[in-house]
Amino acid sequence: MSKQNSYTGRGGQFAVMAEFVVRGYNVAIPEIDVGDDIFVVKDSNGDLSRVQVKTASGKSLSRTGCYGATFSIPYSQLEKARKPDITYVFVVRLELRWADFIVIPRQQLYDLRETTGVGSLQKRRGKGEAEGEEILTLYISFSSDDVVCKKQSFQKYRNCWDAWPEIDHGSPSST
Amino acid sequence: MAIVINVGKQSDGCVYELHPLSRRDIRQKYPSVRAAPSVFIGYGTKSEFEELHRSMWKQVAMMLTGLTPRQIESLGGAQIYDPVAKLEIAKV
Repeated sequence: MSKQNSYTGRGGQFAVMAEFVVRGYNVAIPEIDVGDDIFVVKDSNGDLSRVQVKTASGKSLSRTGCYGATFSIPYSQLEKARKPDITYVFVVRLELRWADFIVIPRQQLYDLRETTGVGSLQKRRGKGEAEGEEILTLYISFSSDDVVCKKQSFQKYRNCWDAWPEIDHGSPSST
Repeated sequence: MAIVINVGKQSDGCVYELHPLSRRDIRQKYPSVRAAPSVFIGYGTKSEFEELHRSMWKQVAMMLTGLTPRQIESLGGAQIYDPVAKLEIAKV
């Protein structure tokens, strides 16, 4: 990963954390990286969500207002059911702003991959422990009224934070 | 082809869920059935997994498919599969 990608990736993670915090949830970054990027906690009852953030730089397409971005995830992570399960958040950085968030539960993405063939599977190249690991690459294109990945609409996952409804912690004061 | 039940092991238990293609096939054949999207069963240690869970696998298959044992049998039974280890654990 290039140095710039590390900065973009961490920036995407913070952008997602900011969204959860504004919604009234507590967030934490696990000290040990074993696949979860963010723990999201509802303080009132301890409900825990595990979130994996993938960030990509968007590239504008010829059609006005349209852009595309490519994301990669280890396939073994997608195949493995967990409790609590992972939610993926795909974040697009476009022209100096955060453009869109695709919020999709692991099981639904796995379903889409297996039943409709979204994305493409590749073996990781290079040396080391991860060599040969299967990676699912998703090219997602965005327009004002749809989000598409290999002819499948992801529009319903666009900025879909429904699993984390806003929590009212009392009247806001200026901060 | 048998129904495939994926198992995801973790330290305190494991999560069972239908393989997406099995879920699709069941929905096509039995569109009105309702079933749990996943089932978690705990254990003390990972080594207890088979010993403790084996007797529950038929019930797990029923919970995940919403089908009766006879209906599951008519689809070729159910296979407990670890997709990460790429290992068939059992057929029930």
